[in-house]
Amino acid sequence: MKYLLFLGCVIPYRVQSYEISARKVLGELGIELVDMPTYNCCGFPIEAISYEARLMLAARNLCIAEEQGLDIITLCPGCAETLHHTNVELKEDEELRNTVNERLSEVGLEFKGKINVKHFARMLVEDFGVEKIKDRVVRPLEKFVVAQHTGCHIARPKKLMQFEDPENPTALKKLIEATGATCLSYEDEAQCCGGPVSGIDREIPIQLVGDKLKRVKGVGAQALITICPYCHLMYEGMQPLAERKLGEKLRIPVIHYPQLLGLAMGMSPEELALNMLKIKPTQLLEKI
Amino acid sequence: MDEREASTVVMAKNTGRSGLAVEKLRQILSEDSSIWRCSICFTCLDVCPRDAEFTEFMIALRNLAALQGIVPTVYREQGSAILETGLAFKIPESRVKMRERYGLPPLPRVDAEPVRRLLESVDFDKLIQRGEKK
Repeated sequence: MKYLLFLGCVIPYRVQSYEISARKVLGELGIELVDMPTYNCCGFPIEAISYEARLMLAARNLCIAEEQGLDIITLCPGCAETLHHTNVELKEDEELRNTVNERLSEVGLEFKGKINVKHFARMLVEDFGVEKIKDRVVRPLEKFVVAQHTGCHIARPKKLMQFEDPENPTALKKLIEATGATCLSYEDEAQCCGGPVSGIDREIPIQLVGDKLKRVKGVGAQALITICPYCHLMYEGMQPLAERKLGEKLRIPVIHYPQLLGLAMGMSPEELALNMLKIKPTQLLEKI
Repeated sequence: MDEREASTVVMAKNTGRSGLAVEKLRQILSEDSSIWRCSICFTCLDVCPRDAEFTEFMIALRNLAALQGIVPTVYREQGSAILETGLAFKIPESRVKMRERYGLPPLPRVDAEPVRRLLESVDFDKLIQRGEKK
């Protein structure tokens, strides 16, 4: 299995622990990751102000991937959704494709519609297989009791992504359970972290983060597992502010799924950059 | 008038409305409007029993506001960063150098020039500049 890795902007900017652990774990599973020879922002951050700019940014990335002849996987669901959306729009709408191709020709590119885009967690479930992941677990995390936060864009909009029921997400749960850990259910698991609106009004994610983490803590989960750099930044980075607002301590470690899987595959916490997390999962790691 | 510069006033006048209707449209497309508080989570779109694509409307309204020079700071900053560097954040050199220490391969080359040209082909640079005048 071989994919082109689309890194996006926020991961190399400030979520290195996610990239470090994902590269280690996917490599160990025998999934070959080829870096994009060149790339740019997927377009998600500025779609709000310019649909056309999003189209052009995403289209350029798709063309570069087509030249490599490889499907894209991303670590960020926002990138996956944006690139997939553009890919579908351009594949299905000939008039739009012609307009965009006219502009792309100015920089020597052409969209042909030859590749697909997926988030890595979806790739693990659909292409690699949960059973094969279980085969690679050498240290089942039987004493780990966690909760999941799938986030919005891996499965929304439902009609576009055609993955799982976003109101009742199960893919990440299956991936977590494959490590031997227990994944607890809690109320309103599909609630958004508020990340995309944090630049407009920080109070929104602070409220949402406190709200969700209180429920996660309430059911007795010892950590929250994420597969999105933005969700991770919200639940980890905003947690102290949410605690202040709530007037109580939460102290819920927020762990990237590849870190959890890597532990179950026998890797050390240091290799998986668990020491780079702001809320140290010390108690959890003692259970290994 | 540039076709991209369709204003709320023109829209309202074209529909034969004025006064309150114009004022309402102005409010909806202003920087304080709740349209900017949507987190684009697509939940409303997914649960709508009538398949109304609310998220798409929200994006369209924001696009319309931006065409009139209403671009909240966060979008102006990220838009400027993309025009300048190709990425939404200016990644500090120190962060790029740290990659080697973490055992990460170098960051793929980001070729800002073709990115800027593609954005200029849809007047994104002008959109950001107009936003700055505000």
